[in-house]
Amino acid sequence: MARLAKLTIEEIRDEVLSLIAFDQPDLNIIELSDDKVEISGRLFVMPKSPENQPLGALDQFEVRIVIPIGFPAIEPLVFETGGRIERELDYHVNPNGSCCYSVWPAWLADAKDQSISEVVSGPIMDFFRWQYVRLNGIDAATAIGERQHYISGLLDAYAEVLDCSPTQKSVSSHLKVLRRKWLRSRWRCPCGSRKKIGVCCETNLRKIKGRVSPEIAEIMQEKLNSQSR
Amino acid sequence: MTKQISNHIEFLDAMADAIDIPTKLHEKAIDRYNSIGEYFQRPTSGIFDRDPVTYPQGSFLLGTVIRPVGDADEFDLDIVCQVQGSDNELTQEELKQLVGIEVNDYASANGIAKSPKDGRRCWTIEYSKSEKFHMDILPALPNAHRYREFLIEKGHVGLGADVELTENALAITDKEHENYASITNDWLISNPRGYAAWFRQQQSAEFDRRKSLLVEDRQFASVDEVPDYRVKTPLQRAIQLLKRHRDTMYGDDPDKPISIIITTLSAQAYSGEQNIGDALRTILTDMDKHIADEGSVRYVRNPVNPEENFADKWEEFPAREKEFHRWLKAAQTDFSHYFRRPYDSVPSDLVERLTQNTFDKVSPLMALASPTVVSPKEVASKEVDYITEHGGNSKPWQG
Repeated sequence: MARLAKLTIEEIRDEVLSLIAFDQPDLNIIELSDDKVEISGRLFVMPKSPENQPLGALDQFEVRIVIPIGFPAIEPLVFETGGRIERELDYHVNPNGSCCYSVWPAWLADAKDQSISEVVSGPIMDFFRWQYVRLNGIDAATAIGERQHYISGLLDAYAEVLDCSPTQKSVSSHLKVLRRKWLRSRWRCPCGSRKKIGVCCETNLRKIKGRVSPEIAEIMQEKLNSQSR
Repeated sequence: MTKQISNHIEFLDAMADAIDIPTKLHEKAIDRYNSIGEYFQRPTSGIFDRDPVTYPQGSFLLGTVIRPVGDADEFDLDIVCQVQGSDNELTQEELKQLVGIEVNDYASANGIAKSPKDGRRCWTIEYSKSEKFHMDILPALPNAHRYREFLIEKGHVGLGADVELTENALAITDKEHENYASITNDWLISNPRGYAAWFRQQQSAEFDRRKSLLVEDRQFASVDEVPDYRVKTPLQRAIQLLKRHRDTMYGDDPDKPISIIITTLSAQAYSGEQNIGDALRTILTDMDKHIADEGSVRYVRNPVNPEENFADKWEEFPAREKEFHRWLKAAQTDFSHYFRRPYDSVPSDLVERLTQNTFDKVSPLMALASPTVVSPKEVASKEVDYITEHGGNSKPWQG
């Protein structure tokens, strides 16, 4: 099972340079220090629909993105700086402009490639595509979907990754098993059946463990703890 | 070219097609080097006994040749004239003159007014203006054995044992070589067919796929019948566009990025993309990652002779390294911005780089696509429909 990369600040900078070389040509590095790389400029929102691709970018937003040392275990902070999105919780933007673009640990578990280019073309682009749809008069929350605020949205996202019910008890039981290095067939199954894993969900759990390493399970648990407080 | 253009890929393909050498001229060039090859092989030829073989090298062989920017300018057709012999019985000067006699005879016999030029390494035949090209003929001896020995001695054991990449290596003449007029075994080495074999390997899957498509399209009866020059892969097309971009940015500036560096880095970065848009994205994002640093020296190694550094002039002329990076940045910006705009709204910077003349040839094909006016809300709705059907859009949250 692949461990999360431990990138140096130079490696983070190189990934950012790859991003702005072609995919996002109007973003620029504005600060490079020992603990972060900060970029800002225009973020182009590209279409997902092949039918829309001849149109080029759907929209563009002024943004500032802070990638901390510790990425990808620690998520990048994204700020919408152009003032086009109302600073409202319902639009997933905090009063300081920071954007709640995804449940980070859930993305970490699902992503095939945890590079900066993938984060920007994945959840960050998805967030701004959601805003673009909304700004064009469509109820994005209904049409595309959104997570409920706080712990219930977090549990929903985790439940999808862990293939379990979105309750704190079920999610915690699964994370407890997944935080261990090995999966033992004799352990009690986290699904709540009171059976041993070996005669219950072993196949499915091993599949999930292939994506959710102990390290990611730990990050998921920490986020759950912070939301539970 | 009558196909309408309705997206970015089709536009760039059409632009690459428009700067490519026309098929008729390409076929004429093949006739020309076949003709000179047959002349060299005639029984009264002074090199008849040496079994002369001629074949193209450089961009003609790679399929990356582009038209000169000015319509009056000529194509360079680089060919090798390989004769049997050894550097222990011939000097470089003797080989150059042996081939030179035949080149001069050929020119006289074919009514070519200008005498062939005796260049540093080649003979140059300048055809009449209407022919639109000139031919550089590189006299050479086969040199595979010594080439392999050299590679192995330098530690490139795997490459030295690779028959396909080494079997056509050459020893070539150079008027500025200190032993030009002496029997020595230190001739310059060259391996254009080995390089072409490497280049082909970088794109072999896509090359074969495209040949099969021509057969499926009933343009040819079988894959074997498709001439290589009838196939253009996204790698070849991307290189053509990048070379044209470079040509218009620099003209005759000696500090301009050289074609062999653009070609080598592009082929190294390319990873089998099936369209020119994806190929340009990968190439322009990754090509500079293939420049090696060793202390203060930068290396763009010849993949079939790693002892040769295509960027060897960068140390002596630092402006060349700087200009390579300035050109790359400009190419990244120009092509990337095009993809951020509607396909039929080509940025003026890109038009200028690929030339207005070429754009004017292609732009009418964009007008053939029936214009559809779609409201912003309709566009957004299509996005929603696609996301609803295919999923994959992560959902925002508030933590």
